[in-house]
Amino acid sequence: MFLFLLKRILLFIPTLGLVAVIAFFLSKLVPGDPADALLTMQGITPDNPRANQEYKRHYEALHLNKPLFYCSIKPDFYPHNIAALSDKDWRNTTQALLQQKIPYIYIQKYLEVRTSFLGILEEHPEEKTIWLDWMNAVRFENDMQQLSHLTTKPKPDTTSLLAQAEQLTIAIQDMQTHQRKRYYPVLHWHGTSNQFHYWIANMVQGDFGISFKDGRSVLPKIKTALSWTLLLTLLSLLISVMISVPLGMWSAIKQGTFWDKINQVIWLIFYAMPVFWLASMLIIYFTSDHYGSWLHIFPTPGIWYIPEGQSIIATFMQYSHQLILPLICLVANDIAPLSTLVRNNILEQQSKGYVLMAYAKGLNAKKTLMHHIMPNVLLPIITIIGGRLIAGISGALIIEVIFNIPGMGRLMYESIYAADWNVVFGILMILAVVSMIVLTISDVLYAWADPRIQTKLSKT
Amino acid sequence: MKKSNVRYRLSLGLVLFYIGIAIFAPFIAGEKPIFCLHENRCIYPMIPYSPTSTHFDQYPSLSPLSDQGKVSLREKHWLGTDKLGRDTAAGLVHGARVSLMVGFVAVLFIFIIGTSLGMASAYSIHKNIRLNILQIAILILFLTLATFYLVHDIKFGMHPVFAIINSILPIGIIFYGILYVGKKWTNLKKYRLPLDLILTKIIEVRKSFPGLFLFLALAAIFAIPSVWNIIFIIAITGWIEFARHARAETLAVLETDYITSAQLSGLPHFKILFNHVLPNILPTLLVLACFSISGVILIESSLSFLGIGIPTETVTWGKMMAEGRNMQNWWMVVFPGFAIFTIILSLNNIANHFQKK
Repeated sequence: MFLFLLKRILLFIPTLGLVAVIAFFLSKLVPGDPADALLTMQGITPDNPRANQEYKRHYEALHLNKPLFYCSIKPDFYPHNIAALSDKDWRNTTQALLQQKIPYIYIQKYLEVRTSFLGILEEHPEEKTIWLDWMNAVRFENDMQQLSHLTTKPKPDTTSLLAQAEQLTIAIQDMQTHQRKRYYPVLHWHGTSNQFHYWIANMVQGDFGISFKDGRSVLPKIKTALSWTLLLTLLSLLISVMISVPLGMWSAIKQGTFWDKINQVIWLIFYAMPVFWLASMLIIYFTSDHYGSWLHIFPTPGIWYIPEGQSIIATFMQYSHQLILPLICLVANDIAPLSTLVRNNILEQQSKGYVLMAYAKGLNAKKTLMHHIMPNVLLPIITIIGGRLIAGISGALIIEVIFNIPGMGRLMYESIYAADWNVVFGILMILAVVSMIVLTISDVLYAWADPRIQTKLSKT
Repeated sequence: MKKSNVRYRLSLGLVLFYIGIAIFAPFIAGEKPIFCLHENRCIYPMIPYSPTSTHFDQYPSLSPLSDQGKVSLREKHWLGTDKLGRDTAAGLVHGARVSLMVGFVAVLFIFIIGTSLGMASAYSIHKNIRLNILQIAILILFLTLATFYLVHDIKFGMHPVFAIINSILPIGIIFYGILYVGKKWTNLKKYRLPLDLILTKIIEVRKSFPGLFLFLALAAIFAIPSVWNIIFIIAITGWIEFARHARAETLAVLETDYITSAQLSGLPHFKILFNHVLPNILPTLLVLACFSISGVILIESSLSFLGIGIPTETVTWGKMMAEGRNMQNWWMVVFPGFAIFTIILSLNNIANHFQKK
């Protein structure tokens, strides 16, 4: 048993690592720049003179200037680490030109010449109108084709900027002639000073970053949300087990009769009902006086106001009547698979030898069922419960959104709309860890209850 | 037996009916005539409204039970309108198109990906395929190079199809040659290809992300929402069930005598898998496909109910329901929901019918 436990926990670690890598790269694929989001949260607009400086500060504080991962494979003409360019405009132009297969050294040269050209132009504002085409082209144009038009253009007849324009022409021509057709991969090794390393190290310490919406730390937000989601799913699971086990037993006793079929059909119908349809209809018909006051059975789902520091139990007492409808929706969907499982397992066990033995020694049908069959039937349910719990968390998402329950699903939904990516990927990561723990526990429990599993698993 | 047959036929009929509606949606609901002989002699669709044209000044939030004034039977809004005056019935017809397309196309993809991976992994266990160190190194090198060139060719603006031809094909041919030559070094130590281990690890990782949360996070990545994004997301995350079933079934089939005799007669690996294994595991996979289609339709409608991942101009069942819930318009919740419910119920029925056989 101990070896099995150890093995199960050791298997847990590489999976967790893979999950972390996937969640990290997903969070990097998201549109938008976290440093920009922090700027907007501070209220600094791009035309603010401090914007550039503040951007650089945030950029470096968030370790965005580090490479993404421990190693990378890049085309040979790429720089070692593009992210190290902390100037936003400089980085974007570099990236756009790199995508046109222009080697980095020539881009660097061009960007330096461009900066000095624009700098001198700033010193001579009276010449801006003369060099207007040039200024706009080098400032806003990243397309090589468009830039190359500049080289053929006649230069305005002023002395102050002619040298710079000449240099620009040369730099652009250089970029054009050195545009690559073929490229080959180069492996870069970045060491531990990379974004993923910082990200995972922070996460292990419980620092998930701050929410871009209100500046609060992410972890406490997720913690309260998680407790609500777990409460909802555990309650619904408990209720559905309590309903579906007797139902399955009853169905198995009455096997083949009219009642058995009706029972199955009803729950299959509920199973096929999209949970958000059921929820929406219940809300529309049963929570208002609009269709007659006798239909106003349940409380209207409203916004939950939870004061800072109020305990979960107090809030639960306050809003428990609002959990009735969500629980009905969740349970209705869950009963069909569970009760069918119980029924089929009972039928399967009834043909076993020990049942015949029990009848032979004179037990009646009820005692046989309760004392001999049910323990064997309920055992496999342990494994199902773990899977159902995770499915329940995912299923609770829509229910939480519809009924305004402040759980994980609602937080996720709102954070996606607010582009609050730290929260979104924090939730994803935490839920992955929670579901891995749940699956491991249910595996271990099953192996503990049924020792046959242990020997089977330790052989492979 | 007979009763379940009736249920099966009813379900099959209903699914075919929905497929018909989805295919001929523009001819059933739309403002343009289907064809005209000359002016004033045109054949119009049955529902003379398009799902996107708005009449918010005339019929905002019209209930099907309310008085719609003196209109002909054809022009009546039989199922009501939404807050912009768009016809619900027309929306239902065109929403069927999105739902069924996502359902069938995504399941086609996950069927192909999952089945081939599951079969390959089972075959590698059964045949105990071993490669020497040289071959494994070449394989890893090929995979890295191919992905590198594929990703970067697309990044540098090449069309994906050309990128595949440009990167994977030449490198693949060269490396297959070297792999073939590598067979000659028989004195090198051989290792088992950990295909099965990789597959089970991927399945484990995928299972630890709760479904809808993962779909939401993935759908949020795409800057421009599109129906194809949803299909792509479902295709890359949904194949694990198929891989698991295909793997288990293939392992069982590979134990049989006819496979042994096929191997003894010297058939190539691919032919054995395709001609002898696949037909035998197909029934189970088709049952799974039916369940999967209903699952995918549910995911699509959930995502569009939440308003994530589907472009604003596309009318879907889920979106109509979300609006109906916000506006407390029962007709916009009941009818699209009923459509989703019936199609899921029918597909589950069909799958159950085949499962019992």
